[in-house]
Amino acid sequence: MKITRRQFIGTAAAVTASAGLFSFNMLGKADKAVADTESKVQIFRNVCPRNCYDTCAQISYVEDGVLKKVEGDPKSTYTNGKLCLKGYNYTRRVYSPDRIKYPMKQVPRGSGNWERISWDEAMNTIAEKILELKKRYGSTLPICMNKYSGNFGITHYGIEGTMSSIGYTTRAVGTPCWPAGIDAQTYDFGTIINNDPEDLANSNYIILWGSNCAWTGIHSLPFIMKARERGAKIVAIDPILTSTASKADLYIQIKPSTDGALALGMAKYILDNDLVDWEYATANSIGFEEWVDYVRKNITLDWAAEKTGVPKDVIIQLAREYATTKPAAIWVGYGMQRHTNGGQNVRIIDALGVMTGNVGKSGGGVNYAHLETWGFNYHAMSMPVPEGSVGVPGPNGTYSDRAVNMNNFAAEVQALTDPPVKMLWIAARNPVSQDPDTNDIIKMFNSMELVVTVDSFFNKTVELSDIVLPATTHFEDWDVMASYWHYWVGINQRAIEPMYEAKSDVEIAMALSKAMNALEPGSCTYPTEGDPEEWVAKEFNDGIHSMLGISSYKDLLDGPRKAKISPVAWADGQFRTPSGKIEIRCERAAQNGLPALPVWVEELKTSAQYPIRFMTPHPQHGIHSQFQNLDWMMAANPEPVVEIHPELAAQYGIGEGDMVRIYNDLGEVKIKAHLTRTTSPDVIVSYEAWYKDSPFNVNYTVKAIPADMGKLATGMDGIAFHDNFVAIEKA
Amino acid sequence: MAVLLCLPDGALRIERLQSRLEILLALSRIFVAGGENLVYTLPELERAYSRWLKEEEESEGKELQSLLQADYGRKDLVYEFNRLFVGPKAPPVPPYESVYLSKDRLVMQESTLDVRRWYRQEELMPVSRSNEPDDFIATELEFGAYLLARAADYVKEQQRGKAIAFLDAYNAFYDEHLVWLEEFVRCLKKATQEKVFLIIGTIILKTVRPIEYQKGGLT
Repeated sequence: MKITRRQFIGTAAAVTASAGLFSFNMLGKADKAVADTESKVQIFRNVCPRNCYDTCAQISYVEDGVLKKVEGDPKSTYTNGKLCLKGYNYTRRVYSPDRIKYPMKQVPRGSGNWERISWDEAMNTIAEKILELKKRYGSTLPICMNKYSGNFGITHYGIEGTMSSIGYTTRAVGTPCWPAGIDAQTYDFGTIINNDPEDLANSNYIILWGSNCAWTGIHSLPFIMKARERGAKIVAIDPILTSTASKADLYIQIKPSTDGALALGMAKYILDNDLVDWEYATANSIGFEEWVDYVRKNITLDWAAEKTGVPKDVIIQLAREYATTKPAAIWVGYGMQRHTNGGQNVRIIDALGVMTGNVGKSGGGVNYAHLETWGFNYHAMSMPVPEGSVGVPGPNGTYSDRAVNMNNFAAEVQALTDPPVKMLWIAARNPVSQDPDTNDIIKMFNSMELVVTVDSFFNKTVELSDIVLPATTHFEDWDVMASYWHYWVGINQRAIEPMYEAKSDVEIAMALSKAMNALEPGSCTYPTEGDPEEWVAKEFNDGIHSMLGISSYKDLLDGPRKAKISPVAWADGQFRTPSGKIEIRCERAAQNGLPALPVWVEELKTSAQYPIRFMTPHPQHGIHSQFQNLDWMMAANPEPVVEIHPELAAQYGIGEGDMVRIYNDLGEVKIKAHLTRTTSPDVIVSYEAWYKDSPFNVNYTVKAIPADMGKLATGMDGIAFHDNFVAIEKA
Repeated sequence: MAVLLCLPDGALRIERLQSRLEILLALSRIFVAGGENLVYTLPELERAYSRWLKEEEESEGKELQSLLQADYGRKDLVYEFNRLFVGPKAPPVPPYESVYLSKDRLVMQESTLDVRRWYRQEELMPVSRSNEPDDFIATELEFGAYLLARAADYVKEQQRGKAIAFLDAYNAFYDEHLVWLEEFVRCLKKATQEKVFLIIGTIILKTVRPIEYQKGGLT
C-alpha cells in the first residue's frame, strides 16, 4: 500500500530525534518560527522601479516566503489598483529559472566558459584589480562606470557611491532618453515640470504629440478617456499609427523630425486669425513679440504642409481647435526629441502653449516630465573619496571624476589615453544592447582588462563580461521610488529574501568595500555593514517629509503619498529661468550655440545611398531590454519584426514574413518583414528590445549622432536615435 | 526497475539500503559542489555507483567504464556543467523540480512548497549558503537519502515497523516529487553531447527509483 506525505506525518514526528546522525549538506534543523508562518499571507508595499512614466505602486502577496501575486496599489489614484502587462508578469521575472543566480567569471571574455565563484572571490578579484590599476596609473580614473535606468530606486544611486568610495573614476554621464526635451523646457521655463497627469481629466483638448502612452504609460489613459467622456477631443501626432493613435479622435501622420514645422504652421494660423492669448504671453514671457515677428515673416501654411506632410486644412483645423478649446493639454513624448532638431522642436511646441495661454492652467500645459519629487538625500551615492585620491585636476588643487558621454560611450572611452580606461563597472544598464553603434561597443569591451556587470538576466552586456554579479529584484530589496511623470512616492519593502546569492547594489558596494579595505586599509570609504531598511531611512529628509505630509518613511508603509504641490505646473507664474519669465527668447540657448528663439531648424535628411528612415521606438512588451526575454512575453511576441509599408516593400520585392537585410555603413540587422500601413512608405519601424536567445539588436545601424540639446541640464546632448538612415534588401 | 531490499526470509538487506542512499548522496553532492568540484565529486559518484552495481548484482555497466575513463579535471566539464545547470545564460536543464512539474515552468511553485512541507515534517529546512528553491535537485536527493538513512537506522535497531514507515515515506516522496528527474534526464539528453553528463543522467534513471520490499515478511 502506498502512502502520501500527509499519511507519513505521525510516524516521522516521533523519530526525528536521531536525524542528527545523518550528514547534511543542504538541509538543517528547521527554525520553528519560520515553519509556523506557513499559512500566513503577508502583504508588502512595492513600487515598480523601471524607467517608465508610471512607476506603479504595487502590493505584493507573500505566502510562506514565496511571492504569490503582485497587483496595483489602489491607494495610488494614478496606479489605481492596476498594473500593465509587464507588472503582472513580475512573479515570472522573480521566479524565472533564467535568472542569474551566483557570481560567475568568464575566461576568456565572450567565450561562454563560465565558472561559478564565491562572492569573496568575486570581490577580491575586483578589489585587487582596482588597487593594481590605481598603483599602475596613480589614480582610479582607469575604472569606468556606466549606470543608468535599469532600476531607478533611490538606493541604486549606491552604484555611483561605489565609484566615489574608491576614488575619482571615469563616469558615463548624460541620459540617452530625454535630454534634448529637458533642455528645451529648461531654456523656456527654467526646468521641467508637467501638470499632474491626473489633471489630464480636466482638459477639453488633448494632443498626444509623439506619445504612445497606450504602450508606455497606460495609467494615464483613463484620465485621457475621462476627459473624452466629458467631450474632450483627443489628437495623436506621430509618424506611426500607434495603439495610442488608434484610440484618438484625430490621427495626424507627420514626417519624422518636422514637429516644429507643424507647430509653426499652427502658430501662423493662430496669429493670422487673432487667436493669441496676448495677455498671458506678454505678461509671462520675454521675446514673444520677436518670435511672433519671425513666424509672421517666415512661416506659411503651405510651407508647413509640405514640410510635415500634413495637409493644410488639417493644420488649420488643429490650430483652430487647439487655440479655442481651452484648456488644451499637450503631452510631448520623448520619441519626438530624439532628432538633431528634437530639442528645438520641443521649444517651438512650448511657444505654442504659451501663445494660447495654455501654460499654467489646469487641463492644459505642455507636459514633458518633472523631477520635483526626487529631493532625497542620495545618501547611498554620497561617499567621500579615500584620502589622497587623485583625479582630473581642477582649480585650487582639487580633483574631479572624468566624464565621458554616455551617448557616445564606445568612441569616447576608446579615445581616452591619459590614463586609458581599463575596467568597466556596469550596473542597471545594458549598453551592448542599448547603445548606438553596437560594433564599436563590442570593440571597446574587448579592449578592457576587466568588465564587471551586475544584472538579473544574461543579456548582451553580461555575455561580454569577465565577472557577473547577480542583482536582486525589487521584491528582494528595500528602496524608495519617485516618478518623473506622476506625483506619487512610495516605499519598496523587502517582500521576499533575495533568491540564490543575489545582492542589491548597496550590498555589493559594502562587500567590495570590505574586500578593498582588507587588502589595503583606507582604500574604500563605503560602509562595510548596514541594514537595508536603514539605508532607505537615510534617504529621507525634512523636505521630502513635508512634501509628502509624513513624519517618517514608515508612514509610507500604509501606502504611497502624493506630493503636496500644485497639480498645475507653473500656475504661480514663477518661472525658474534667469529672468523669472518664460524665455521665448533665451540668451542661455544662444550662449550654447543654439537659436535664441524657437525658430525652425532643418531636420536631418535621408541620402541617396540610405534613403529610408529606420525608427526604433519603445516596445509593447518590455522596457528597453527588460521583460521581453520572459516566457510569457516570448510566447506572445516570439520574434521581432520590421514594419514596412506595402508600397515600399513592393519596391524591393519584399513580402510578408520575408527576411529583410537592413544596413548602412555602420552595420546591419536582419529582421522578418511585417507589411503594414501604420507606417509611411519612407519609414520602417522595429521596436528596440532584447529577445531571449536572439542576436536581434537594432543598434547595429544606429549612429551616435547627438541630438541638439541636453548639455545644459544633463551634462551631455541626447542621441538622435530616430535620425537613423538605412538601405534595405530582401535577405 | 524494481529493487528488492529483502532476503527470501524477509530480512531487510541493510547493505542495499546503504548503497542506495550513498548514491543519492553522491548525486546530490555533484550538484551541491557544482561543476568546479567535479574532480572531487565524480570519483565519489564512481565509488557509490560501483557499490550499487555490486549490491544490485548487476554487471559493471558501460556507464561505469566510461566514467572511469573520464578525465574529471577537464575544464570544459566545468563550463558544460554551468551551461546546462547553472548559468549565467538561461540554463537548458534547470535543476529545480517545479520547472518540470508545474504548468508555469517557474521556480517556487506549489510543488516546491509541498517539498518544503516534506522537509518540515522531518523538522528540516534548507540551510545552504545560497537561497535555493527547496526543490533544488541536490536538496531533494539529500532528503531522499535521509529518509533511506532513517530506514537503515531502524533496520539496524531491528525496528522493522519504523523502518518500513521510512521506506514508505521515501517511495511516497519519490512518487510525489523525485519522479521529475525522469523529465530532467530527458531534457539533459537533448541538451548535451558530453558523455559524463549523459552518464550521470543514466545513473539517475537507474538509481533514483522507488524501493520494493516484501512487507509481509517484515511484520
